[in-house]
Amino acid sequence: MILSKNENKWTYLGIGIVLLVLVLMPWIISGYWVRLLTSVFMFAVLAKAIDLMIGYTGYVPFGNVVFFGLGAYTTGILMSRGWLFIPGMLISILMSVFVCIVFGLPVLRLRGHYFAVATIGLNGAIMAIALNATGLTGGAMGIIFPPLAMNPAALNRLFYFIMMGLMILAAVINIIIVRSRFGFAIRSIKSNEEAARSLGINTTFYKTSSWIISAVITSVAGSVYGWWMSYISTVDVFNIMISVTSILMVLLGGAGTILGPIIGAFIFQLLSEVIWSQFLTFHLGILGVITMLVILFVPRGLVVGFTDWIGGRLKRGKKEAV
Amino acid sequence: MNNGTLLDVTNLSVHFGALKAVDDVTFQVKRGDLLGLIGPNGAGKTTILNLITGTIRKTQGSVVFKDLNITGYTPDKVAKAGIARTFQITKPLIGMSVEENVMTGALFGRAHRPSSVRVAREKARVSMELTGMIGKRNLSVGQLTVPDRKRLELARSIATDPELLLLDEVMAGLQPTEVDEALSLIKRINEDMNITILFIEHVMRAVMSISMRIMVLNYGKKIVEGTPAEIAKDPLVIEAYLGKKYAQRRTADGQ
Amino acid sequence: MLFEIALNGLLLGGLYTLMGTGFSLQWGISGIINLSYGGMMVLGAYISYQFFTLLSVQPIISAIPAAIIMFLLGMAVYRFLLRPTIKKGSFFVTLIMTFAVELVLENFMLLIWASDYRIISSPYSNLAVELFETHLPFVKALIFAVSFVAVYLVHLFMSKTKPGKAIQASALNPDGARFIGINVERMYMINFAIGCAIAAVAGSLASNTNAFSVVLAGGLLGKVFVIAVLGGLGNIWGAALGGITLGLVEALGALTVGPEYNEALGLVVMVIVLVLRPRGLIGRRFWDV
Repeated sequence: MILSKNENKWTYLGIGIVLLVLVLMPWIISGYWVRLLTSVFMFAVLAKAIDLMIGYTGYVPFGNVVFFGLGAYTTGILMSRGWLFIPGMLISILMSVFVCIVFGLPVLRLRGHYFAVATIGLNGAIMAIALNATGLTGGAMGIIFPPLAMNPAALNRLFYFIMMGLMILAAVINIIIVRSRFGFAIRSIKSNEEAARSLGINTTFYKTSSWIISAVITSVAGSVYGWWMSYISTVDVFNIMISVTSILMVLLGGAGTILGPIIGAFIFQLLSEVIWSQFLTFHLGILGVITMLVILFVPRGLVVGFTDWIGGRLKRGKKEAV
Repeated sequence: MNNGTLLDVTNLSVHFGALKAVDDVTFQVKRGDLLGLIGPNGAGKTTILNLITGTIRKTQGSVVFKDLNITGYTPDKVAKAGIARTFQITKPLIGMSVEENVMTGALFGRAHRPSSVRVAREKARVSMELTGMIGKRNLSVGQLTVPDRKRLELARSIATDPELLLLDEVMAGLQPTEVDEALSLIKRINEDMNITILFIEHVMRAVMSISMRIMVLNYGKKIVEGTPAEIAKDPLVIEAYLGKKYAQRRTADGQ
Repeated sequence: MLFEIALNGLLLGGLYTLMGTGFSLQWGISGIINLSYGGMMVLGAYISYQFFTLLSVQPIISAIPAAIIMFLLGMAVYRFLLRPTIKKGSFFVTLIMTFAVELVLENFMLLIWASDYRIISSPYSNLAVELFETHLPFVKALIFAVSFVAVYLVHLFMSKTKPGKAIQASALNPDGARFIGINVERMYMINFAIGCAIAAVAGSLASNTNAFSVVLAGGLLGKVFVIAVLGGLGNIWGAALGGITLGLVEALGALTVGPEYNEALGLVVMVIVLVLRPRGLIGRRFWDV
């Protein structure tokens, strides 16, 4: 039982086929679609990262995008001073971990409400610092990454596969965590924090650790994003809409499942593209209405609803066969 | 530390505003004890439990467990030291199966044994068999009856491998036959697993039948400690439960 | 000079207190973090603006229709959108729902008024008052006074009237309140609607001195968080402390580092407070140890 309760060999086959198709895509479709899919992968990564908190500890870091911005900016600042990508990315990770510890330890002690709001403030504060430290960050002018010497098609493909790889990595990390001792700890925190503590679980430690993992994944995504775009500014990478959409994707696909956030990301991004191109003036409103509908009618997310439905059909099928 | 004394509670007090919920309580629990804690509602029994386990932190006095001063410890540190507890209103881990609940106990708990998931599964099996939950290992919490939820809570807390187990009104809400089952289970835990037990209880026959000793609380103060037989006759106890006049009448009748 | 700045900060603090009161009521009593609070403030401003320009209603008075309309809107939003999510239990879902409301509100306002900045200019706008040798814009003083009165009225309502006390009872002990016949869910709904009305009044008052547009909604939400965190939740004194503190911080910040750092300063102060003293400067209830 890796991915969901009702899986069997057909699930693995299905996923294998999808992965194969995705690998071949860049040579089949146009550059626009390659870039679109790359952004879908990126959101899947962000959704999985935030689901580590929402679906497992039950805490909702609304401002998780702060790590995306920290990743993008730290890597950007270092690379524009001659650093290579990977060392730059590693330093960004350290920054994010530092912020998690300093901010997480006091605030995670409190109830979920407070944490959610506090992270919004955290993001705002760090964004404001980035905006105002013009000497370091270029202020409102943003940061330019050293461009890669590649033709556009190859560039698109490069980042396509990097983001896809990140997405798969995030899923693997999720799978490892769920079945580990760490996974039991965070799941029990979500179920009943007081009971978890009475069993010997240091809940603050596990909440913070969970947040650190979430932050690191988000930070790496930010670093890659900056490198991909070659240019970033504070309003892009510290935009609260980025974490809010990742939360909506988790909601849509199903929190606490392996595939849920990924499926949510795919559906949401593709839907968003359609709405953006057709209904630009109603974009926000339609997003809002869709969110309301999902919350009111599919509250546990599509994956759970779907697997329950599939499970129900399989059971009925077996009964009829007998 | 005296050989045999597991828990040493001295001058334990706490007050909430002007109310002294626990007032200068001192007692010891010896290794292997099956100690009952009784008293009228509001006497402070659960509060004592909460003070020992760190659920309430503003403790006055001291709590020493096996040479370790655990006063003011957080609940997780208390659990790691070797004290487990159940809750009056059970707190199962919702969203996790029975087996996963018990495994969580086995995975954490006492500090010297961070275990692997495989080892924990085995320990959980032992706990579940002892408490009769093994057949329900894959059920989700929502599918359990009230006595099953209590068995789950017991299984989970003994899976943490405690030396001292604190029970908070385990019998509440059980039918008479279920009470008998619970009693024999508690005795088995105490005798076969060598777990010392301090249990709060309202169901008198339960307390009287299995306790080695009983401690009686009233208005936050410890009023009497002794064997079941001694407690039954003690005028202070009778007064606490039934009122002064009744107590006077009983002693007047020479009982 | 310093005195004038501080006094201005204090006046601003009055408005901030009003802002914070509505948000804090919704959070502290109804238990809802209303992410559409900023949008509601701006909508209140727009409604007043329309009453002012189209119907020539006096600037401060135009806050009243805004309050009434937002009160009704708040009731509807709570009844049809928020209450179903509360029943399902997860606070995070309710939070997202308020965010969805914000998205719809913003889109709605963009469609009608676009993102242009508006402001209510009136004959009062240029008056000034001389006080202790400093120059005080009359409107700011008026806004402070009105805010003060409004907050006091809310306080009276909550502590002296029957519905107000019923609301407090519902927050402190829902089961007990139900037991004595209070319709707790309706109390939460009314409380939420009151919060929305307060938001509208605050937005409407602010529109007399500041240009506003939909674009500002997010920033307003940020400010109101800072006020709530600084002061602690659920009580008016907290909102007052948070509001005045923020007002002074912003005024003094404008003097020392420049007004552009306004928003940043507020957020940084909030983060520092959260790290050092998460309960806020007063701090009550709703905490875990």
